[in-house]
Amino acid sequence: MLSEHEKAIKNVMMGVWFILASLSLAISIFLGFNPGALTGQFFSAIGGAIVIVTALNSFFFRRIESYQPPLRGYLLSSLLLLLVGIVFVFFPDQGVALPNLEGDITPKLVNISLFLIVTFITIWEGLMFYWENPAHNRELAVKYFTWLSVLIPLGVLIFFIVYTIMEGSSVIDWYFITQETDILRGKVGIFPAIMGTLSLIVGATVFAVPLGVGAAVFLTEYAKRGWIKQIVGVTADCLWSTPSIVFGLFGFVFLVPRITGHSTLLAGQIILAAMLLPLTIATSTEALSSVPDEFRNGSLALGASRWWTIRRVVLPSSVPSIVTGVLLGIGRIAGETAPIMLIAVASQTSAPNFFSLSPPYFHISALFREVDALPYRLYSIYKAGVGGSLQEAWGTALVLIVLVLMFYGLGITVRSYYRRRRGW
Amino acid sequence: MVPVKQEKQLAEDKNGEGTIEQKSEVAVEIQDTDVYYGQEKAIDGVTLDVLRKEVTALIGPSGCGKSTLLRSINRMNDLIEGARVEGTIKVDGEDIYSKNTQVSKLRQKVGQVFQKPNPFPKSLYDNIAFGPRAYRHHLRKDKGILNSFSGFFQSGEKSPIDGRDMDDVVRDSLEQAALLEEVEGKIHESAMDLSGGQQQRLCIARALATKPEIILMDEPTSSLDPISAGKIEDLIDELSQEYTVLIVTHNMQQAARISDKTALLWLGELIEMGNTEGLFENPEKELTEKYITGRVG
Repeated sequence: MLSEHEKAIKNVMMGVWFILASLSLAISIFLGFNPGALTGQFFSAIGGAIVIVTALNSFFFRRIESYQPPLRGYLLSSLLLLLVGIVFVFFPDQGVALPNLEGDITPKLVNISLFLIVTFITIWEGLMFYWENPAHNRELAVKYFTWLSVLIPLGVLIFFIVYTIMEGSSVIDWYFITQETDILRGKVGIFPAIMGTLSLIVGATVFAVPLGVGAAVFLTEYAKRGWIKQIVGVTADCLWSTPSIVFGLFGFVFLVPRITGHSTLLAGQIILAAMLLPLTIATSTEALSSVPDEFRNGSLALGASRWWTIRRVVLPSSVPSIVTGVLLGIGRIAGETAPIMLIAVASQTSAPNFFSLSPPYFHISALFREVDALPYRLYSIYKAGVGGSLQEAWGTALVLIVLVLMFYGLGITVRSYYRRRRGW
Repeated sequence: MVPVKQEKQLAEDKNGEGTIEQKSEVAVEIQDTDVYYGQEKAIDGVTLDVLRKEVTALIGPSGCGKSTLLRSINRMNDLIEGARVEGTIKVDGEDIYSKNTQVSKLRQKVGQVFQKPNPFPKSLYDNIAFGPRAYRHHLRKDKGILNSFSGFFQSGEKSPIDGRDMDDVVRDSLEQAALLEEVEGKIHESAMDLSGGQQQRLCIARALATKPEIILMDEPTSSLDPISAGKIEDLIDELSQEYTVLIVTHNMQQAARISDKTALLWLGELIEMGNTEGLFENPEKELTEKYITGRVG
């Protein structure tokens, strides 16, 4: 049951809600439907998602058993949300321009404000419903609400990917991903950027993973005292939350002058490794300490040494979690532009050339040259107007997403392979 | 305790002469041993002998130091921070807390089975081969680096402990642990798919694969259902033909059923030790009688 105080709140909120409801209804009727006002597919797709989610929202709340008084309020607010959402998405330039001194309350501003207000009212109605109902219904309400929380991010994610594919796929062909840009023939290729990003990722992983896992092994298996763990933990957290441009600055001031004096692949790899390291330490420590002590004792009691125990029992059991952590980190550093901008990249360079078919076959010197990178290429197309159309940028973004997803796919394969053998 | 004294004397004589043809009857000799956890004294001046090829049961209420005493025999107490052992514990007449003791070799000789079955998340085969492989690894530095490649050239893996084929070692260990029939054809599948009782028998098989002389069991049946526990008890009976078994148990019926000797520990002290029948039927101490009849504990 609601207390008096809660009832009072609810009454006030109902009043507010009725005012807003009539206002919004009036506005949406006033606006009418004008297809000419369609401005962007982006917003229409978001709008579609919102419409679907709103519909699902009302549907779920309707299905809750012994659904009583708030039905009216909640359904109406959901309907309102739907209406305002449609206006917000499909008719961004329509609406009332409220007269004021500055003249800066534009229809867009009104629309988005209405949208936000109605969203909050809908949430409020949901909460009211939660408060007013007995435990069984609360359970259901929470279940549906959490279900929605899964659905919404998933929808946004799928939307991003689908949109990128729609925009980017038109420029992608075999030439685009396997060749360099040929100005004379007017053909665009981002092969150098792909190889550059790959070299950066691989180098950073090679530097960071052994160090990170080593640190985690020390912390969980050998360090006896708690304060060492705490210091390392706090340091890793600080490193992880350091803005990436600071890493870039550090590399520019300290690393670049000590390597060649100009941007190099190696500097980029080292700085990205420094960014990857804290996450690797954190996830590996977590993974290693989640291995039950029974395994360690079982191994040691058979006469195995500590290192053999770590190598044969502890590490294999924690590979899935370590891989997951490292891949999360790779996903982040693959898209970083800020740290490498100053120290590793330059646009319109050729792909790093480590291998050749003639002697000496392997060229270490590739480490000491500049590279191109996908996020940097994206940035230059958007911001600096390097290269061609925005379509190219979308194509580049798509390649970057696919690259990162490929790493995830690899990780999931490794993880499931080891997880099948785990099972505790 | 009294009847073993002569045999101990005998053993000392033999050691003195340097003949080791027939090993002493005493497998584990604990002399006036204290174990501390930090400031707390968990074991207080315990002296007892464990005879070869017998089952010795340690009984007593929770927290009386049974497991502590067990763990100090294969030095698993070393892993607990702040644990300290004072006194002498000899396995096969060698002081295991001397500086020359190789803990790996000690633990290969003194196997342990834990309260909760703890097979590794590997196949049954790899679980059992784990001990021998670790043993080979620890010996490898004596044998040179070429040996580490031997696996690539040999078709079959040999156990470093007795030179037998590893497949045979695995099968024999499973058979000794009365598990072979149940897992026939599943040897290369994950050990985590076995039932609790099978897992515990696998852990026993795993301990047997290193050819131990002594097996320490820390309440091996307490997490199992009665039928699985019964199988483990039968198995312990079988094993006592060849191995020395030291078992910690809460269950006095179990101690009475399977052990030859029983020792009662109380608050870290050894109250009484003797033949199981004698101890349960005519206990010398009043406390023992009270404990086994359930009037205290």
